[in-house]
Amino acid sequence: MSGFAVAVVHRFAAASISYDAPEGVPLTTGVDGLASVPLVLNYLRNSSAFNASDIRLRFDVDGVSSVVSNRIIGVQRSLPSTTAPPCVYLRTVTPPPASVVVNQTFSVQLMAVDAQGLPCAGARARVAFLGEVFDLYVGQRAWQGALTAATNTRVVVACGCLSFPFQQQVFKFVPSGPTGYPEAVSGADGLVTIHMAMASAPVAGTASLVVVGPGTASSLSPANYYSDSFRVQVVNPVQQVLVGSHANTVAFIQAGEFPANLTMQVPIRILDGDGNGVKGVTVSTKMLGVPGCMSYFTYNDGNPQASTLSGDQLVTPYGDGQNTYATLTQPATGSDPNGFLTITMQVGQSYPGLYAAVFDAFGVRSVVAVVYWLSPVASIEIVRQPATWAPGDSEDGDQVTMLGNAFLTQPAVRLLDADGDPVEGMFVNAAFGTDGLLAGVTEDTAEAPVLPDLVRDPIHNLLGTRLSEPSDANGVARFTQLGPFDGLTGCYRVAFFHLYADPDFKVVFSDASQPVCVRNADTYSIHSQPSKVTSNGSPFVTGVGTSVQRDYVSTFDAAGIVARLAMVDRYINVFRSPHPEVYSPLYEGNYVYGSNLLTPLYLDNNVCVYFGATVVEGDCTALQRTSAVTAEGDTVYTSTFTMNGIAWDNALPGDELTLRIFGPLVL
Amino acid sequence: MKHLENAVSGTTDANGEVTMTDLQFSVAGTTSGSREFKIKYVCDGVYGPLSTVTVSTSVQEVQLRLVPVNVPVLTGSTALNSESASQVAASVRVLGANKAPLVGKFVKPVLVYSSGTAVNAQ
Repeated sequence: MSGFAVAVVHRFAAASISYDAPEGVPLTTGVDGLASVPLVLNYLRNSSAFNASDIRLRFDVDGVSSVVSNRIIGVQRSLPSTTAPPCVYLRTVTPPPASVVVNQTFSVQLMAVDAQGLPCAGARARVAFLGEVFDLYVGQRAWQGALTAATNTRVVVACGCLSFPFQQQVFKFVPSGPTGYPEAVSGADGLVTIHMAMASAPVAGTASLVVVGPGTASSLSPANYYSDSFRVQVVNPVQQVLVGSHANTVAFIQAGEFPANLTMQVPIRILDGDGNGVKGVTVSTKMLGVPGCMSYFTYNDGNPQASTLSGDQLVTPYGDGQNTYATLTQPATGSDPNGFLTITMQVGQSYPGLYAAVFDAFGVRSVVAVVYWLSPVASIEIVRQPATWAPGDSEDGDQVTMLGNAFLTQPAVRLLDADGDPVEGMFVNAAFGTDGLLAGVTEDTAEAPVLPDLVRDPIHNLLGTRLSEPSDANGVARFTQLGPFDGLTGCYRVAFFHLYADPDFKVVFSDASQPVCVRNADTYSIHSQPSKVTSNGSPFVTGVGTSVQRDYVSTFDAAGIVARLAMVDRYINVFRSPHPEVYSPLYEGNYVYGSNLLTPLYLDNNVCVYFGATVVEGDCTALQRTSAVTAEGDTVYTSTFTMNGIAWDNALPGDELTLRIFGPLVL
Repeated sequence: MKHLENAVSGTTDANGEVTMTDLQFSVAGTTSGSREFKIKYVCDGVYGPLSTVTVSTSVQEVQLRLVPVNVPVLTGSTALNSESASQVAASVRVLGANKAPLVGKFVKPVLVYSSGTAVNAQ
């Protein structure tokens, strides 16, 4: 995708709408016909005036118009108040040059004037905006990778929906002034000269630049005087950033071993448009932990890269998906005359796993580099077998656990390193499947299957709390709330495994003679539906960004289910899991429904759909047994939850979203 | 800038005629909204009559791929200058005949009312 920045610039007064045509900054499509159009509402003094009208967007190309978009909403930001002189305008004296080079200083000179056009002294003017080119929605996509330097080796990989906060190739200033953005104060003659430099830019692009003055003491927002808008062609000497010589593929770096800090040397090369090295450039990086899952691939191309990998089905999410960081050490002089730069990078989150990073030089982003941090765990052994309800303790006298409840006996396992010594501070994951699902990999109990073989057949990970507590000094990791949250009624064996372990790591299964037995609902019903939903599972149409209903309360009568909500749009299911480790970091802490990492939001047609609702109470809680009995004699369980404001974003006109309450469900 | 390419013909034949087989505009699209262009032919300093050429766009469809609902408002806030999650972008795909993507097309965003009427046309 390619494209150039544009600001949709218009002026809205507080009470009425007046409008200046959008700047005619050209946006060109790439070879795929796509253009990314950054949007910002400029000079919008009062977003309420804008939002009171039904304003939408249309895109024109050669006189051919797109359909009209959904309504857009202006989201206003406040500006810190400072006392300002009664200036009304920043008149252009010397505009910025038509073309600037990244990291080279340029200037703009303005004259602050009052309503009579007279010079205005003491006016603070700040460069407030640059049009930006970025690849915002590359953020969420299914991604997976792994590391091995050997060939023909099966390895366990982490995978998941990787949420990149990295913005690609954005215009940014070299930080300056008290706010970090270039500014200056006018003198007695009203003149104000601002010196600035671009810190980063796309490989080619045009920046739109505006200078604003601060609000007054009585007005927090917005800025109360503006300059003209300037367009500056930005030339970036950097055109490509290589990591480990990889220009177009995911680049592996190297593995480290816990618990030592993971420190590595990363070879970077910075090139210009002719493929020549660029001297004197330093890099920055951002890094994420990749939520893991259990999968594998056969790595056989002999090259240390994984751009075309496709692991088998994932089994269980693992890891917190939190932002982590990497500390870089690099020469202050930056890259050498040939563009080479070797940096020392230390990963800041002290837990093995799969990490992904990008390196940024003058705003040009490298490919995604992967760090696979091996765990020292080489094997695990079960210390205490899981067990469901004791005989006679369940409703039917069976050894069953109703979905949503924890197993009566919580298992414990011991983690050992390659020398057989206990490993402290590590986690164990658990999944379960029927003997049928495990057939072929559990026949020989003397030789437990290796993980890749296990994953050939999908294992339904339907356990609630799947992560153990961290292992203690004796290497024992205990589960405290392990139990089924979904799945069909039946008996299962629990598989214990540890991600990021050595590829030869063996999965361990619970005792086949003592399976855990779970009970799901036979039927379920929903007492109340949200508005605009005619029946459970029926599609409904409402405006994007429009709340369906506030304080939606649904009561379920069911026999053994855990209430869950899902929004279904064509090819995706997005739902909130009761498990914090699968929250998208974007929504964390807000108890908002978001994407489950099992299900990427990145659709096949590249349209991201989000939705949100605040859980007030009761979501994903265990069922409460009632005294009611169905006609078939089954005990009725009830689960009630309340949500506040179901709404979604980023859909297109005509999209239909379906709200479903899931009862018995097998993933 | 639109200009003519291959604008020099070969030599005339025995009938004094010449056919320009690959005369074309350098870029697609209109110029300042105009689809009509005038072409004048000249040979040895002698001009022929003006001929009118109407340009038709190769664009068949402008698809909305993604249009954010919430659009940040510039008020001078530093938040807009930072790498903020408030930054949004629309994604548009331009297609030609047979749904083929078109490269190098200029995309212009227009604020409109629900009727499709441009806001600045009011």
